[in-house]
Amino acid sequence: MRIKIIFSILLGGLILLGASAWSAKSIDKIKFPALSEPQMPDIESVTLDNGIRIYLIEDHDFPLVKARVRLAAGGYLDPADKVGLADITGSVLRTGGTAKMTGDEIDEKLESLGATVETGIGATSGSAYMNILSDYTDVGLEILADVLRTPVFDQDKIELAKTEQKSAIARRNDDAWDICFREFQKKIYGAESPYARHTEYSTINAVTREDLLAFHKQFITPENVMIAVWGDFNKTEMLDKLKKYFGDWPKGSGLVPALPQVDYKYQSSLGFIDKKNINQSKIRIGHIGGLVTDPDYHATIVMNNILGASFGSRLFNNVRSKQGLAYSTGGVYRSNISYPGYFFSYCFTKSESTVDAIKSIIKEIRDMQTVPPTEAEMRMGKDSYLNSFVFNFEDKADILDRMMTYDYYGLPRDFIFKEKEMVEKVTAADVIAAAQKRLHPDALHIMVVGNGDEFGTPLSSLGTVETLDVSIPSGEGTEAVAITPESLQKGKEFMLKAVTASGGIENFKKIKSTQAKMTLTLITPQGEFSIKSESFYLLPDKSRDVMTTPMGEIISVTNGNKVWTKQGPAVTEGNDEQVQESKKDFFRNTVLTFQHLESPDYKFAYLGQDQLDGKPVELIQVTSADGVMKYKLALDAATFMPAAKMYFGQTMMGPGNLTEKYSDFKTVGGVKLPHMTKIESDGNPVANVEISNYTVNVAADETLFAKPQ
Amino acid sequence: MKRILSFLGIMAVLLICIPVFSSAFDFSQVENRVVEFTLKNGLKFLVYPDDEAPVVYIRTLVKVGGVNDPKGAAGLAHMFEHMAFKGTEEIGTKNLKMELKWMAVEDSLYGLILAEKAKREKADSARMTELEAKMKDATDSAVSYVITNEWGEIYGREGGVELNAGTGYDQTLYIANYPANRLELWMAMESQRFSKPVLREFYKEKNVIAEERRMTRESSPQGKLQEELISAAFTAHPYGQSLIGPMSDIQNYYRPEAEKFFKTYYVPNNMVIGIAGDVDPAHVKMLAEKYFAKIPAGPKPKPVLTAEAPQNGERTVIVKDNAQPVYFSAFHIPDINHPDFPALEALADYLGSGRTSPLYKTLVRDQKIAIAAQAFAGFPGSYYPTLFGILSVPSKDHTNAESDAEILKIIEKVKSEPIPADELEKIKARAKANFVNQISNTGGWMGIASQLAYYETFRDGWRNLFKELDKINALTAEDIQRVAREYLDISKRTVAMLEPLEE
Repeated sequence: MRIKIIFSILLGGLILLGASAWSAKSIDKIKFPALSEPQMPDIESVTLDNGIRIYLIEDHDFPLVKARVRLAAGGYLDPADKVGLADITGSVLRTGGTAKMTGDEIDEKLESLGATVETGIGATSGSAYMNILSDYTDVGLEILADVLRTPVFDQDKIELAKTEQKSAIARRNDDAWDICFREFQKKIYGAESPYARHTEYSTINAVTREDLLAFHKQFITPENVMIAVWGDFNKTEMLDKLKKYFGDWPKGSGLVPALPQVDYKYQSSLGFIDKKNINQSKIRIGHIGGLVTDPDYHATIVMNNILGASFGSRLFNNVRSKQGLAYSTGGVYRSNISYPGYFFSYCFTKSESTVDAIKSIIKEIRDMQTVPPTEAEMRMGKDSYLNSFVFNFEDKADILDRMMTYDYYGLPRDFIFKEKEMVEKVTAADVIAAAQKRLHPDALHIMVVGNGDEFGTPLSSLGTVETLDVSIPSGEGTEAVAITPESLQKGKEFMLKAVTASGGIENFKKIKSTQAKMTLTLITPQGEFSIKSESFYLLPDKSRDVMTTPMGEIISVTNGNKVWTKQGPAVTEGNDEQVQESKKDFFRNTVLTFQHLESPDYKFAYLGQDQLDGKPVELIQVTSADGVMKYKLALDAATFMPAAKMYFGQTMMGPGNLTEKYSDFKTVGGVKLPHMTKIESDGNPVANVEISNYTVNVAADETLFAKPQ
Repeated sequence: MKRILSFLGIMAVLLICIPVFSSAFDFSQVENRVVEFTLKNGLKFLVYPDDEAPVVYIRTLVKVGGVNDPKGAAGLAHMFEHMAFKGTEEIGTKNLKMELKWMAVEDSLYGLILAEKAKREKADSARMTELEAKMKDATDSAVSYVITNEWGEIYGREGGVELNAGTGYDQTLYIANYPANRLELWMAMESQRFSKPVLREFYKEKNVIAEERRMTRESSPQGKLQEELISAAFTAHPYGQSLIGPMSDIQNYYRPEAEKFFKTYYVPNNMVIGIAGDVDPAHVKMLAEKYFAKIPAGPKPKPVLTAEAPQNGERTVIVKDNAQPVYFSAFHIPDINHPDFPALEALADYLGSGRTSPLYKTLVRDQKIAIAAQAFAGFPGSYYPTLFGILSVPSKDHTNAESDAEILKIIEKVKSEPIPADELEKIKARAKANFVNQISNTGGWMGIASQLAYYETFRDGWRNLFKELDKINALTAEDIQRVAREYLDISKRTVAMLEPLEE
């Protein structure tokens, strides 16, 4: 009996709620016919022997054939000092020509048919696209196959791509919204993360044709390619054509590495970039997001519609319409498939209302956790998804893209249908629970780009402001240098003078190893810290450094392609990047460099005279034979002694332009070696290395360079 | 690149440039799918059935745009577009009677405010403050009866996507994509919207438009440049007016004036509705009769008769801003229905489309002085005599002057020699491929529903959509050379350049 009463009270309650929320309208009386279920087109899906996955849909309405290729390769594979490598590869795949046709010939051919073939690589994946009238299908497929299989990466087109990249860098601060988005992403994922990092002039300069060829060889391979084709063709014939053009593409070295994980720690920040020429602030507020495999993912879909994804959402209603604070505002909690998305809410508002707008948005985020969705909001939040579900199937391109993505990440093909079923079941309690778990109004990153002079209420009223300097580093000195016979000859001449001044090449060649006891002084904003260190370099590729720090000994060992670090009981092995850094370190070693004066492994190109701390120096560009490793050597113009080295490398703050300045030369083993080295990063002092004891050719025990225990 | 592409995207929306041309594929099978009918009040429907997915794409094209803005209220056509989302007598209100009462109070107060403003330096600031305080109260009262964004909310909740609108100089286009079974809902709502709109939250929406102006013009160096260019090129014709309106006009918008604007232009005989998707034309007609037939026709609005006098000399505008350079030059050309227009479109296509065009080859590929260069015919509108534009985005460390020099050489060449035969073939091939792509697209801003409505309104009948390719196929190299010589007169062009501020 009791249950019945409760039930009828509840029911009554529901009816009442309904009546008050909706005033009777003529449109409420309209009865909708049943909606036909979305029709999944007939998709032929096949995997070729070499691993390429194929998806086909026939469509004879119009004489068109379209293709979309998914490449697993992405910018996340770029080394830190060559951000932009994948992007450039993506462009020059198409523009740089193939074994059969130059880029210009491909352009002429396609344009004579009104056809397109385009390629591109983004941060997490790449793609190629073809659009052609069906009469010319074979021409299109052949070009598509050739650009993917046998690109030649013509140097001129690489230069063109680099010019585009650098021009984009030059323009990246023109638009306040671009700045805001970019800096916000760095706060969420980290400035070095492939999900947020961006190119610099120096990273673009560092990209070589060899890099593009290596990237293609390693990552654009059949096992990492998926091809979808739809349009005016017969499935069987199309499959035969694809086998013809792609079937004998030899497999590569395996699947591309997985996307990196994200290790996020919730914290607040208030970032500000002062831009004087605008009267409207761009604001972005948020934190990390989620994964589509999260159990409350479906609740977040509904939450998004209520909070900020649509016309009737709280952000739109309150921040835009009620308060007139913004033309543009919204926000969503984004969930990705294989790495977390981000939650963001944004707004553009006149300078004077910047702080008000931020407070208004934060209030909505808090309220999402405490103000339950009304029945009208739930209706809107769920129905807007459910009723528009059919639009997921309006476009064959979208359907195929989705299928390829699901297949690639191992999601079931009916994932989107299951998603719909789950959204149907979401309740208001689920939405509140998701909001409470997923939204963090006390750990928000706020990024503001605006004219600080016109804010009215200062931004500091919201917390400690971190003013960011987004000026674009000049990248000076990182341009690739054209190596000519003249510059090589002059370079050799100067190097000979340098070796002679330092003790003569014969003495250098006698050096098999060097040992040094030193004091390493680190210069940081918090002060200077000195640690004692001992190093043992067994040329050409082994080294051992033992640093005595207040936290105990840190031992670093390099042995050819292996790098280890031991701190306390923990021994970690270096990754590929650290091995590369170690190799570059050896390449730059002065003793090794001087020993290789006549070796084909080293090239010395004279760059000209320059000034270093007021004194004239002769600059030599030292490059490895394959062009991959390089640095600049500055020789004192009067004495020819090495005054400094300049190179792009890793610092504690990330990659940067480093300078080592030498002084206090003393004779060791018949040669003059500097006992004082001052290290600067982008012009700022970061460390000094003072050597108290320098020896050469001490007998080495091989166990010194074994993996530390 | 994204920013540059979005700049070009702004152009595309402004110009509805349709490189549409017909060919050997039997387009009559597409043409024959179209079903047209006109209601007694002059409202024309063009229905294109396509059952690929159970969705329907509706495009309402109103023959009103920036050219029709009243003096002193530039941007009103755009303002009205915003108002069209505020609801109707039954959608968006808790109590229509009270709302209308307070809206009337707002209007009379604002009339007094405007009258006081008109006194300029002699305006009584105490009276002004008093009126503004009363105005705020009236607005607060009116707004208290509003259900904010109920229009958009219903639409979204019922499965609609891409609810949007765009105002250009010649036209205002309202787009809506709905699941196919919601067609009647759209009919009911749209018919109310254009017969009984309520211009609620009018005085608050001005702030939103002001923010939009700040975002797209004042805080956007390229937006600023566009405004300056058209203002210099057109001294009389309203193509030279700001589409969104200058800030002062926006601040002075007056609702009764907007209502008058609406009554003049939003009449059924001044609109065409394109509907494509999973629909039965007979059912569409039945619903159209049920909901739209009762809207009374109005007097046909007059076209703009102001004509721009010939430009007699070169005009240059320089905008200095904290941004990288942008170069834009423009030449006067006739309107889109002029017999020379297809040749002008072909000329633009030849000069700048694709990687084999002279602009790309010279500026981008060979000399690397630009990262993008384009040409287009029919900017900022095209129903009236308009402009032929050439745009260049200089690359890093390169200047507008360098682009200008090379562009002038390219123009000289195209005037002195007819283009080679293979280039003419390329233009025709591109035209055909573009056309097939466009009409095979049912939805989108430029898909077939929009195209049909556009051609019906501005190109003397929707069937002309399918005749355009014939015009292009008939072109000769001499035609293109002739229009280049006639219209690309360097001594009569307008140049606008965005120059970086000196460091």
